Amino acid sequence: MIFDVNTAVGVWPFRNLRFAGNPKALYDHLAKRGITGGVTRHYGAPFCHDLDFINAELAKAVIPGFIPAFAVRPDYKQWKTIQAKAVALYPSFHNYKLTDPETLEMAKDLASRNIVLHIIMREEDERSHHLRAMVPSVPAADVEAFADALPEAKIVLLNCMGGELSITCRHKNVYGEMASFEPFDVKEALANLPGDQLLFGSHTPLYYTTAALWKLERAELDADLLAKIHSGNAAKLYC
Amino acid sequence: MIIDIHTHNFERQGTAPIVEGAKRNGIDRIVLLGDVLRHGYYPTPEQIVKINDDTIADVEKYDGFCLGFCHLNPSHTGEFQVQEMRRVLSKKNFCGVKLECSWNCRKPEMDPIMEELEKQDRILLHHCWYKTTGKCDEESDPSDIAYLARRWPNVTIVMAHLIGCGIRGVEMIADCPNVLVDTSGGQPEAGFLEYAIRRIGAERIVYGSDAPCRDYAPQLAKLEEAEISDADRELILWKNTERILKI
Repeated sequence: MIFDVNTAVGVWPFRNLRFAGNPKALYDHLAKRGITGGVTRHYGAPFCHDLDFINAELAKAVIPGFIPAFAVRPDYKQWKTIQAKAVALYPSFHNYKLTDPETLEMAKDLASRNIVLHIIMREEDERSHHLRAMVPSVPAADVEAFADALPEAKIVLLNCMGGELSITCRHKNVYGEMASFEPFDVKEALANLPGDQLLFGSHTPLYYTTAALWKLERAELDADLLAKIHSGNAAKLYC
Repeated sequence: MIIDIHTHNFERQGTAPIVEGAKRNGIDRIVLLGDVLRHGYYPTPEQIVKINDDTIADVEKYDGFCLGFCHLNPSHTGEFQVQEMRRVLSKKNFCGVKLECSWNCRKPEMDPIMEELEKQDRILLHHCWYKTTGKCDEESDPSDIAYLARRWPNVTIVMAHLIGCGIRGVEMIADCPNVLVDTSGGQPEAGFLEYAIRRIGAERIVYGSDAPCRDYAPQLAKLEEAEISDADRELILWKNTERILKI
């Protein structure tokens, strides 16, 4: 069983996406590839003002085995009453900083309720952004400060690129997801990262799911490490 | 059968891991495009010669598995370009010229290279991207490639990086039959390959990985998962490359 923490329903406005409006097709596609659990967010969350609507849509779409990561933002007070195992934070898209006092207040409250905080570092390669939607990635320094301020929180970084996964080395409460991480030598790249803090993610449907699967399967990783990344770490994190 | 038309023999990594990684992923032949970033975007003539000498040595060492391309910086004199092309392309298993970001391909300094390619019936593989951020001064985008292709309709051009060029990039070169696009690089975003096949046909798409800037496995996975016919997959994975490289 593989647990994919980076899946989404809904429409990404810059792409003609597979499975748009058809979550059953998405989950069938994942299941065919051995992915029978995971976390799902809504691609509409970065751009829609009505997060209640987006979260309701997400709740309807998600199937058993998958956890909805409801979108929250510090200036929308629905976070105070939200019931969830995981939430999605979009600091760059929603135009706030992780280190703002309001953000920390929200995050502390959510963490105290054992809700896992997913930080969306980016949704796509910055070089290919729409000319009128150049949303920067979340600064790594902000993530470090956020993690320092919230040592009890469980924080998951989605769509890490380059050295961002190394944040996990300095913070035991930070987990890194790897759909956008593609070193030539995966085994070597992961050797210096904490294996207990790495999570499998595919960024389906925006990315081909098989890319994330083959990247790990063909890297000749130690079987224990592969099992941890595929599902073991997630099983502990979302329990 | 799989032929990877876009790999690099970077000095700092060595060529052995590139070759071994390809074999481990079921790839039968790879094209070495040279250590094109070793000296930045503007290598001197001496640096160009050294880069090409290294590729020649690698192609000889891995005879039968590696093919080679000649790297150039088009800002150098036409005389040097032609001399270097003749020197490198006369070697066994060398197939064409690779250009990076030294000189925008609309500029007339491209002419001696294109003329020689036409004369020798070899191909050009050119870096290309539609970048919103981080664009280099001389970097070519698909509209530049289309401009070049129309000026030199008898030269086959491979426009690198389908994902980076995107839908708009495919549109730009759609009416340039001498332009193919390679699948190398970029995140493994779904849908671009299917779009390109619909728009320009599978005959104009070739598989490439951009290893070691990228990893073979996820780059091959794009071909595996894309909703395309087996016949189109074969064209992209090796038949088209075999055709245009005449191997």
